[in-house]
Amino acid sequence: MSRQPYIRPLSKTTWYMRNGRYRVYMLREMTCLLVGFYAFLTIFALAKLAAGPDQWNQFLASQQNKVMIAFHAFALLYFLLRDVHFGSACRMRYLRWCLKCQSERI
Amino acid sequence: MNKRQMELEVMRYDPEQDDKPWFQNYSVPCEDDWAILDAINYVKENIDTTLSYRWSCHMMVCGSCGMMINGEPSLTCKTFIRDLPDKVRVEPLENFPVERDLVVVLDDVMQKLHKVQPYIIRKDDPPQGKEHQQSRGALAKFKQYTMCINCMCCYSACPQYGLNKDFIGPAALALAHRYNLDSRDQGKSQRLNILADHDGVWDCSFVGACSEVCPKHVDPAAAIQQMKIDGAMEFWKQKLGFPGGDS
Repeated sequence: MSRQPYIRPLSKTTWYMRNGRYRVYMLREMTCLLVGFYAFLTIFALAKLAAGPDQWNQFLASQQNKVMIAFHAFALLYFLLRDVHFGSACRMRYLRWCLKCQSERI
Repeated sequence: MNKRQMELEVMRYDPEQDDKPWFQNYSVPCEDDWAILDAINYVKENIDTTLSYRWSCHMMVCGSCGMMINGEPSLTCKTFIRDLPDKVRVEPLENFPVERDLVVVLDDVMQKLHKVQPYIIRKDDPPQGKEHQQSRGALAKFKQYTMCINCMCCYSACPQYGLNKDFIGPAALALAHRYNLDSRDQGKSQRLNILADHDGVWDCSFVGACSEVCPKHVDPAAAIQQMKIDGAMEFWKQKLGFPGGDS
């Protein structure tokens, strides 16, 4: 009898469509795009600040419109979602382990 | 006892006849207290004796009967009929080559389990004429990681292992962490050379699926994250000339 194991293919580009858990993970990791944007925004703001008060006020004015405010509110909610999913998972795991160790200690 | 008719959609693969797997339906009269494993055993005994699968204890101890139940890796002896819809799809564990029907090839994981040196390593001689002493607190640090039964559900849930077969993987890393945390062990820095390497803990992107599917609540994701901290601490200790972390 010959061995001929079948290897089921897993796409490197669409693997996260396999189940809901992976899709939530990808949504969580996509916050890196927002982090990148805020890093860029901070550098841009610092450059404007270094260029003088006129440039800085111009930058502040550019941020005070409905689109930017809606974007910042969306980003805040998205980061909170990430924190609930990732941060609480980490903390809960660590806390559970510490509590187990403490409860067994005599 | 009430009976319920259930449709089992089972993946079949015969390496001598089939080019690729296919699904076969079985109609099984199930009793309320049956697990999926009972339904599969019914098929084997009464409908189709050619069906191949692994099982042994039927009590969540041996870890042999891990399969995909409706797309979720789980122990078939722990997954009850009453919690499932009338139609259930049973497949071999994902991320492993299929040997035949529901049987997967586990050679790669066996090598990885061996690679992480899952045994107590001592640099000193063992105590003469008496046993190693260990407090309950010291035992509690690693006790949950001793609960692993090597069912490989975690490997099946891990997309990282699915995409990169060099990744050591959740169960082997949790097992290594179990020995790193053991107060009798002195092989932590020796083991970290393997675990903190490219295919070790740093390949884990913390999807966390391994811990969610673990039938014994071992929480391998926690073990891996703790080992990342250990690996980083050990790296800086070595850089700064402090003694290693072996107990």
